[in-house]
Amino acid sequence: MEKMQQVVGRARAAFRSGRSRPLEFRIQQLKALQRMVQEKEKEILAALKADLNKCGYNAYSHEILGVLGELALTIEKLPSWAAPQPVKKNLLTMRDEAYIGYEPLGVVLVIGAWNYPFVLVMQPLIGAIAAGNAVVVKPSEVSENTARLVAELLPQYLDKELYPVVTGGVPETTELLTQRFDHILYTGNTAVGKIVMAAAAKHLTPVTLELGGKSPCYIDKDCDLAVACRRITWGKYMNCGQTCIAPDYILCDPSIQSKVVENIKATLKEFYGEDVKSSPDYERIVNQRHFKRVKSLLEGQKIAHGGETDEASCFIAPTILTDVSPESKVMEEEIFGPVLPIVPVKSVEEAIELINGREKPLALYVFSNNKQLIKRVISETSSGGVTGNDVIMHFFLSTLPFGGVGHSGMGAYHGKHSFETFSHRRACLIKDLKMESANKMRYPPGSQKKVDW
Amino acid sequence: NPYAGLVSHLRASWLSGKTRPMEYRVAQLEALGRFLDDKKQEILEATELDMGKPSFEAFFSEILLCKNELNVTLNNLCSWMKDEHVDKNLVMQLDSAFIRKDPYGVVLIIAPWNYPIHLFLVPLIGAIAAGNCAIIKPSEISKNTERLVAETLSCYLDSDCFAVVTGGVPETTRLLENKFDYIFFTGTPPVGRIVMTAAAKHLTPVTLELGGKNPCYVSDTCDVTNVARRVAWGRFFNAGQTCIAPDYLLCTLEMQEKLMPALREAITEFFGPNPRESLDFGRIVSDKQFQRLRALLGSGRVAIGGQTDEAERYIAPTVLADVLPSDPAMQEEVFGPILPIVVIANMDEAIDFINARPRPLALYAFSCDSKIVNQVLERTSSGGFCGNDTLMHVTLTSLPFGGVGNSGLGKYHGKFTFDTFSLHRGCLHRNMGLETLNTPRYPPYTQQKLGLLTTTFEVKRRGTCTLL
Repeated sequence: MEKMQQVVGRARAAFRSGRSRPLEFRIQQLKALQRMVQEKEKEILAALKADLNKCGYNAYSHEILGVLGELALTIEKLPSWAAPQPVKKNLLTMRDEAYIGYEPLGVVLVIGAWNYPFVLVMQPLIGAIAAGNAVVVKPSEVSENTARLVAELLPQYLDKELYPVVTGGVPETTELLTQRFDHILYTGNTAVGKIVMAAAAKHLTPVTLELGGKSPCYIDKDCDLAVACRRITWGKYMNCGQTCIAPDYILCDPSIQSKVVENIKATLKEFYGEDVKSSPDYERIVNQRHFKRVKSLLEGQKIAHGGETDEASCFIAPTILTDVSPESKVMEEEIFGPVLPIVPVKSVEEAIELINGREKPLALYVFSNNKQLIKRVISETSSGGVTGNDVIMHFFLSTLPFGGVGHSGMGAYHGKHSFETFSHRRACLIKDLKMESANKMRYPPGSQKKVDW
Repeated sequence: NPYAGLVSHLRASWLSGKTRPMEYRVAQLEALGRFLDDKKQEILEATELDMGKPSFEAFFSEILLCKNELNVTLNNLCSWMKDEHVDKNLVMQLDSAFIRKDPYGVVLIIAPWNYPIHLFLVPLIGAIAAGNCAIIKPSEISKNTERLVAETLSCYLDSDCFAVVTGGVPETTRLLENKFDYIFFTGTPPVGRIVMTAAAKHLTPVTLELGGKNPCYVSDTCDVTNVARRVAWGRFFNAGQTCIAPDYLLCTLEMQEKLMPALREAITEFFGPNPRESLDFGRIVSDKQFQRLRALLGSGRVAIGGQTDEAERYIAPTVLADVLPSDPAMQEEVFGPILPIVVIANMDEAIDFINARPRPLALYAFSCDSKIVNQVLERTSSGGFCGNDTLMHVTLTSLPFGGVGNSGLGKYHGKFTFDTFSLHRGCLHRNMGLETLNTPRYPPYTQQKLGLLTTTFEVKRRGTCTLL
């Protein structure tokens, strides 16, 4: 237990030394991370395979490419992001210097999740380093191979005191959260998000919470169903449905429900072949506990496709449920598995009402040829982010802030938004000690003349 | 819960979409402007009753600065509300990518007593501009202003969407049990913790404008007269009850000696030989605060002022010399018309002194040598910084106003208030056609696809994160 205090204390002392602040140092650390990802690619892919049965292509494209892209972007843009930003002045400050300075916050805590275990610690880490902070990294213990690898690799490439890795489960994380940090970025579920924020409140620590929820997917009658269903199938079943921004459930008119099922079935065959279980491109549920949880959601449902499970290998086939009731168990919490309920709704109004009757989701999807309808769904609902006519993709554009709202989270990151999240924007006004006459009007004694001026 | 009904009423109005159209927001903001104009006299009187606020000060902070914020907002609302289009990567060239500014829903604004109109009204401007409904909880300590706001604000704003709740700690505690979509709190750090803990139960995002001890470093090379005036102005404004007031001075022994007559002169210039008779000097807001402040007078030695009158809650503009870090005046935010001076040997010692303490809301440094001002700035951390003056950085609406660490989280003023109360929602609107471009991302994954992915992805491509 003393260990956490030591680790954080060392990081704080290292931060206080000032060495994480110069831009050259930050860029050097980021370039070291680049080397790490490139040199240890095989090891990273192997860890992801061991943790989630993630195939090389998915692991590379979802976890490595994104990290490399973020690193390249950050290294290139850091000097411009970190530069003081002059602001518009008023009459009284015309001769002064007024600007916003970007400063590090201090010691940042990054808590990762198990579903994309590498990118979800790396992306925040990149932003936190770029902003000049010390960073304590706590990867998820559920994805234990990746956690172990991160704990081994980071000290080989980065400054050991400034960027320590802490491993462990709930007791270790609880102890870690009693320490004082200057910002906490947590990726995970809503329940733990509340615990993290409550712990942060004791120290008045700002937080970014990347949580989850049920991301709705509305399919309008007027749309190219084949294309829509192919895109939805891709986003839903990647990583065996264990994606915070996966389309959780579908809302559509009853008249197109069977066509939707047919199209998804056809796409599944195209993606994974006749025997999904033997496709090297289909992942597994991360552990027994989640396997049982997802499997229990199938009880009492109309299974239009899939439903096969194998406990030994934590395999759950890509599954589609039809005529699902909004009150059923599968519609209560985030599925986080390869089960896709279709909830029939008779109109877009009904869809919007259903969405608004629930907690605000992390992502929202709407498919339609009708631009106005898409605009309407977006403007009459709330969500962290939106992709129209596709799924997931808004995550990959780093100029868009990525984050939730309400139960799906608070704050955002990616690209420059990460840099800003982990920086303190300090208002600076530098005046002249001369020019005192301009100040006379504000000094007492007050008079009506001064007020009128 | 006594407020559950009110909160759900506001939430129902929110869900009706009433607060969304720009015309509605403009109308409510203009009504706030009329409130300030119509009730100007009442505001000056109420704040005078509450803390003897001089009418010049009240006009400046409660009316003028608020109207500035209103006008900046009204002038720019249209462009602030617009979707902000963002740079796209290669793959998304034919898509539409933008950041939407969505309202949060029902927000709670909790204001303190020292600038009782300003500190609820300026956040409220942003909350309305961003399209939210709001509950305003003014401070019960400034009870005349509280009554004024509770009785008259509803005549100006749409009561379906905006409400005022009055009361003290028990009422605020119960209010905080409800779910809000954003909470904006101005007050002390201990209560800030309570607010954030309550917010955590509902995962409500917060802005906390707190406080601390704002250091004021005066170097040996400076125009003593001007420094004394600017520091005295900032310290004694509102009888020192200002979250960004220079809390204590750091300077050498020589400078302390030079400053003393200059400070004495500035105080006399401002308030006359007997400040108690000046119409331009305020009073302490409550007996409790008065007694707290009086106890601080034992720190160091009283070099200027020190007189008090309990019946009037008057404390003279006071300067304490040779204050020690262990003295009572250095243990808490002063928040009164008392300026402790702590003697240090040099700038490095001053910087170490500042950095050994919680990060303040504001930090001040005075020097004719701009290098010194910049060194203090670069080697410390604070919410905001003003070189060679006090308070003024918060009157520039293009600068963000907020704390860091113990002095708070979040920021506002000008566009920052609008941004605080709006959710920045990342939106990508893709083309339904051109499906062939998506093929490389779909299974089955072949060596060929992987090769295609790797060769077409150039890590060094400028400013893009490409993913096929």
